[in-house]
Amino acid sequence: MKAKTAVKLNSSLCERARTLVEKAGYSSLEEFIEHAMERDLARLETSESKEELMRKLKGLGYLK
Amino acid sequence: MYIGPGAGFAFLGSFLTLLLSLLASFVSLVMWPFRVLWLVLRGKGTRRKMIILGLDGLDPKLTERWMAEGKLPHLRKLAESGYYGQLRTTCPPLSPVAWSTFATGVNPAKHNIFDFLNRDLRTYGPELSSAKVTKQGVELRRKSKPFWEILGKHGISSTILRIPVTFPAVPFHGRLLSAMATPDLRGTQGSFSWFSTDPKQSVVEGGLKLPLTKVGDSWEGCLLGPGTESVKFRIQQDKLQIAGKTFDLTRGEYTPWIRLKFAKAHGIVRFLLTHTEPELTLYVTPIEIDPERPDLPISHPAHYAVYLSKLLGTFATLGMAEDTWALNEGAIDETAFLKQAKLIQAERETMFFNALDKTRSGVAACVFDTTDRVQHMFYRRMGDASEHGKVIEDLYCDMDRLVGRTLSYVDKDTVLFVLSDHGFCSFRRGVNLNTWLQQNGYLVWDGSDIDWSQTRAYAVGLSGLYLNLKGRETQGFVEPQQAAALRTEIKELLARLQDDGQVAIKDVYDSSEIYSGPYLDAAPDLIVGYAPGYRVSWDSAVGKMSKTVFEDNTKCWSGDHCVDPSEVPGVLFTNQQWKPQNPGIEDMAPTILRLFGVDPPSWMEGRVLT
Repeated sequence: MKAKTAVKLNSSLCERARTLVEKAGYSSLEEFIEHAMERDLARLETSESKEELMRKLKGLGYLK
Repeated sequence: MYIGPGAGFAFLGSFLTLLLSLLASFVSLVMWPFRVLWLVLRGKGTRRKMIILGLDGLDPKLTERWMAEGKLPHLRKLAESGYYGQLRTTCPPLSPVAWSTFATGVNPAKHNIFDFLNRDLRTYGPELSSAKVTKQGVELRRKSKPFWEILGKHGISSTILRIPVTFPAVPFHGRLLSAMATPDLRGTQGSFSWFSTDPKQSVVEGGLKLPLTKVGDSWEGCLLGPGTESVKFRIQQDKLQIAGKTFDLTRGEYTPWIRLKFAKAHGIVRFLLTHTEPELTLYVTPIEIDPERPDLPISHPAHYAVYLSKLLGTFATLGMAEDTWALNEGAIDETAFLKQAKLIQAERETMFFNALDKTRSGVAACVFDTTDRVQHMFYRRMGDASEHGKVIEDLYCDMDRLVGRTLSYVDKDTVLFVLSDHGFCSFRRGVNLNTWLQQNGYLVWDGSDIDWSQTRAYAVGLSGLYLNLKGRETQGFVEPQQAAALRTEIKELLARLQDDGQVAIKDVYDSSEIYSGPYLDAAPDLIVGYAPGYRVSWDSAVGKMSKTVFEDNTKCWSGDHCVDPSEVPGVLFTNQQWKPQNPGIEDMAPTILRLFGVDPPSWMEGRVLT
């Protein structure tokens, strides 16, 4: 699995974003773009069932 | 710079990998003069070495007491010749939050880790905050940039061992072994198996209770692996036969790590014979990822875990490998738990000192979390007359020994930090926030589940309380324009909560007032700072209700730090003769960068300590 994938974006859009990302608290333009994608994906994707979420947490000492 | 024997030692079993390693070593050798020249030209050619020894949960009150009593001579010497002070922790004072702030120098709204848990916005169910494993791969949810990535961009190499919230391992200029959040082969945070000749099966927290079946003069069991896979084993007298090999079984002694091969995964386990009568009982650790054949990205480079395993021996890879639930549930006793913790600690010390042996410049950092796990499980024993009454004191003395050994690697050009992410206190009473919300009309219970269409607030995680906000939660009920007033109302009411006259909550924090950054929307709306002795209840942490708001905590898990951050600061020792004012864990990353001549980036918030 590749850790990063290259995508081509409109360069003027990227320049607009580049001037603001650090002011907004991001550490890079990539982080800003990933966050924008994650927010939209959260709206579009389906969730795992509550049971599956709980199964994955099994064994974590802080939780029953 | 990291001087090692070369990864080739790790790959003697494979000619191709050996050849590739030799090729990589040759290229590295050829490039070395150019790299040195590049560093000098950039003015960053420092030969400075930094050692960071993290002791998760080392408490300042206990440290100061035992330093004063002369029981921690190396830490005392470090404090006298350099600096010692309490280290302000994060709100909430939880390891994933605090170590993320340590690594990045930013508040949680910039690194996106607010708790051990997030809630899923559709199901309202709890999920791990730090990593997400999907069919597409594994994602690290911690955002921003850790200091080791920034140092790497300036040609300064780091070895990062088991700093929490580093799974999956992300490429950078250095080596990294992941820690907290690394799952077992069943995809859980650690499910042990508890075998018995008693045929009764039952579900236990954190594990599975399974039968041993009599076959001739031996007993057979079936260890459940990933998905629907399993591995059969046989016990004949004092021998364990599994995966084509035979191991000695001695009551109370763990077997060595045993490798198990499944169709698509490779695991390791240890067996422990716990009883021979009246029933034969066996404890088996969760099936952990085999570091020699890792099926998930637990290290960077990918062969680093293989190298460590081949060179130093197999080691525990699970995020939280000390099996606290096995002790809570009685699958192992206190002695067996401590034996397991010591085996794990020894593995990590071997790795740490291997890294120190190899590091001539740059950073060598390791977080040891045995300190956290043992305090969680033995706080109730502290000072009692039992054989385990001095377990925590002995643990601190053992960490002092570790510091002493580390000091032998410190020369005049080396900066040493010994620090913890938070302290500790007792956990005697659990608070069910969801029950409190129901009793105060903020949460509606329909008899079998929460009625989200009428619920205004709910609790998930170890410190967080959320509004059921329209446009955010799928069944959001609270209008955004009403949110601020509702947060204030709940905060003021909750801050007055008492347990039969006893203050249970020290303070409640509005996240919009204490955090700032692009991930603020993901933060809990309110963060509860419990008084010492209290914590969120076991049920409330996973979003469940109980009959009463308060309940006794009767588990072995009796110490905790999920309280108000002012009650559980961490510790900071350094060999630098500093006099910092009110140092906080967010100050570490910018300080580390500056010590290597690198300016902290604009998004970092911590101050440079001097």
